[in-house]
Amino acid sequence: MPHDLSFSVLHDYGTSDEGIVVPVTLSSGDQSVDFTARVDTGSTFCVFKRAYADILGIDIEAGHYVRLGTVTGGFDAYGHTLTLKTLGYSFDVMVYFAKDEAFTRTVLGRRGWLDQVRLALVEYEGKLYLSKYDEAEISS
Amino acid sequence: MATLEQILEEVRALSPEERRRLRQALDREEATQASASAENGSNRAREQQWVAQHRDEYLGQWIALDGDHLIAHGHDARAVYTSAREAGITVPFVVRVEAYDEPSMGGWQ
Repeated sequence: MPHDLSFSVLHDYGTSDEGIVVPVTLSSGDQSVDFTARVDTGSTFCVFKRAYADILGIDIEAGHYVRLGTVTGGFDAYGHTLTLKTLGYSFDVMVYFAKDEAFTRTVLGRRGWLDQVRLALVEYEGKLYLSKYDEAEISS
Repeated sequence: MATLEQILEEVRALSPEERRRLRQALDREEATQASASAENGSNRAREQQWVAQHRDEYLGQWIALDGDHLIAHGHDARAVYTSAREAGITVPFVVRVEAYDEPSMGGWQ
């Protein structure tokens, strides 16, 4: 039985080994910074490098502490509510910054991003389709 | 131009059907803007290509790019960001040049 969904945005992330990379704008107050992040459905949270909190003038350790597990161990992170913008959509959500400066990953995870959107992937073509989760179905 | 409070006052007077149509119209407006924003070259493909081409030169450094133009670089992310802002870029694109990733598995909790 077919299931239909409609999406407003098409993002071409390419077919390289870089992963499913999405442009991100992170804002706190009047400070904003652009970078890219990988979609990671295996990550509970959106997790970013510590340096982006430094850029935005955020006191990292004043945030909500979590210990995140990985296949090789774990790491400490702190959550802050910021404005996260991707592919034209903005969300005020809790995102996490790794405590360790050596942390290299920047990912969009399930809470704070995937739970805000409807998403479809065609990995063979390197295409990501996106709409806001509560967006009304667009009729043609 | 009407204030937000005036607009909200008028919205409260709408029928349920009119409110539903208003919500759909607002959703279409946001979707159109999102689509335009995503399709107007904002996918950072040029920046990613620049990083791939210059990875060895700037490995481990923070860089600020405007398309394929290097604005600032260094080992202090905040300093690189500030330099880009001083160069007139309102929202700088700032990334750390990392070594090319080997194929990986996430699987985080």
